[in-house]
Amino acid sequence: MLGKLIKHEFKAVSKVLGILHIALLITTIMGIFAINISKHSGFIFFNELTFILYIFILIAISIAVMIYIVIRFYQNIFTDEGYLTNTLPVKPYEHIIAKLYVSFVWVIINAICTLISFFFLMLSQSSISEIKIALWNYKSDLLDLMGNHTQLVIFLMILGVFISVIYMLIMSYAAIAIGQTMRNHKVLFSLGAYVVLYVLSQIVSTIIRLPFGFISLLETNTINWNTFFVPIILLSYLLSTALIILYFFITNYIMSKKLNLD
Amino acid sequence: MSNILECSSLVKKYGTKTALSEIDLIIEPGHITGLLGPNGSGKSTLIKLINGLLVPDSGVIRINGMTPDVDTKKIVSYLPERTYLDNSLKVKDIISFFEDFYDNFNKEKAYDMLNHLKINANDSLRKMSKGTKEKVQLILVMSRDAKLYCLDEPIAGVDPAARDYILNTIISNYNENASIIISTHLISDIENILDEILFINQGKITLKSTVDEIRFQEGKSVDALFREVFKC
Amino acid sequence: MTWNLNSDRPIYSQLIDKLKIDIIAGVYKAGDKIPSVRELASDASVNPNTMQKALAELERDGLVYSQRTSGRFITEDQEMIKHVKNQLAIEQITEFFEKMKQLGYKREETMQLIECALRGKENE
Repeated sequence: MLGKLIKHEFKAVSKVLGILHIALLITTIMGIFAINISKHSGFIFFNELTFILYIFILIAISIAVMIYIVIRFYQNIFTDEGYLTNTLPVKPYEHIIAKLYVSFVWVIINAICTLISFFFLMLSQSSISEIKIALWNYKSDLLDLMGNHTQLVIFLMILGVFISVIYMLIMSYAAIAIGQTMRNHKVLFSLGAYVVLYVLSQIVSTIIRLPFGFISLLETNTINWNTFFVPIILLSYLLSTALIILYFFITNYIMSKKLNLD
Repeated sequence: MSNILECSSLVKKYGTKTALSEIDLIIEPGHITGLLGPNGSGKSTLIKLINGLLVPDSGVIRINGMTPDVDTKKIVSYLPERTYLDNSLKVKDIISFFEDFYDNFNKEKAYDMLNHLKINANDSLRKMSKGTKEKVQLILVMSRDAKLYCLDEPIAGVDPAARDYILNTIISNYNENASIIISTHLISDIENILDEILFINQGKITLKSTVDEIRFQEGKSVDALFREVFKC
Repeated sequence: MTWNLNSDRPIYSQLIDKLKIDIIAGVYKAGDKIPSVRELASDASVNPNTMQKALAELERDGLVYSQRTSGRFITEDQEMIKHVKNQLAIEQITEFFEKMKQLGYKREETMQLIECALRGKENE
């Protein structure tokens, strides 16, 4: 059943999200075009202003992706469509997982496409060799910082990205679900719930990290990856995961017991 | 064979308002029951409880002996009052959707009914009139081989000719192992196809009888009795 | 076939009446097989349970009999059919006389009116 949910979820969202990414592609192409014309004709099509515009569009598209995903969750489960969704022979947690998975995939796609777009834009601005030199400089600095833990650090970074995306998504879902339990002004309450959840989790994570941070510092003479950074990073991942599980439970509980379609 | 629907001392409240109070009800297989009552009487609350869209505050509700959950959703086919279909889809998309999620969905029957009502499966739902969309929903619901069909206002937004088709579809779908609950205001149109009648008012069942019993005892149609009982 | 069911009498007795009339009028002849419950119910736009009840009563009266695998058939008994026909006729007549009584006519006056009406029809 989960597989079918995922399949249909992809079908349902890919049209709009696909279009957004085509817009991204077009913007990139136009950007590259503008740079090339600027280079060859001397007429500055591409300057700081258009660059800002380009960045703005990229950010706008990423935000649009997020907004669409969140609205989709709300619409499909808590409005008229909910009469179909919630009467399917499927457990609520399966719905949540399916939507989480599909949204996650698309957010990652969006991130990768955005990076690629940026890379290609840089490529047309400078040459490959220039970029290589710039990256090489960064790489040396980074390697110094990372020591011989390069693989570990890269793994942790990617894991971090995955966890934060899932975290952001499930927190939005939970906020929507919480807002739905109210009789009136549901959207307002959802936004409020989001803010509250965000603030609460910030507070909780700071409170928990502080003592651990101190303890780690006190116990070692040197600050290096093994003694300080990795434990702290792992701790915050653990915390995020715990919160992810909490938000999942909240969303599942509301969908199972507190559903109230109009 | 167990009863299709059993409610005992069923209670549902919204905050301080009691929508259903101590509902006791049994529906056996092979019946077409009319759930009749004014707006706000608790009809939709009861139907939502049957479909697992609401959870009771107290009391018991069982579908075929089971508490509303995934397994009951497999055997209950629900037609809500509103359109619940994704407008961006085509009719054939929604048919394959139903096929995927419901084992007891009969695709041939659905296409047969679509043909009868001259609805093109390739059409997008967005382009259809409200009445046509409602027909599509009804076809989807009746194409499932379920044990309990919950129809909420199945003929309200539909033209008289299609109404006859729909009523006939309901009659011909009749099978002794399944039951149908129809919640409606248009009593005179469907009175003849009902066997059992439930009057519900302010969260309580005020009358449980059959159409013929009412006509025999009161000398008037159920529709006339309803108007009398629920006079504003 | 229009069933013309009105809304203040029990449905199943109206179904019985209609079926009886059909049998008497020869729509269903003696020995004919009648359609299934479901077909009849669909035709009349009524609940199959109600139609079943009507047919069961016709069976009890002997107008109809069922053979387990082949379905339901009209009785071959012509006498029985004639009997039912007469019964319905008498019901109509009794009702007519009741109505005339309500209008204030005595029995003899009613008979005279009938003869007048018949003669009037002959002269047309």
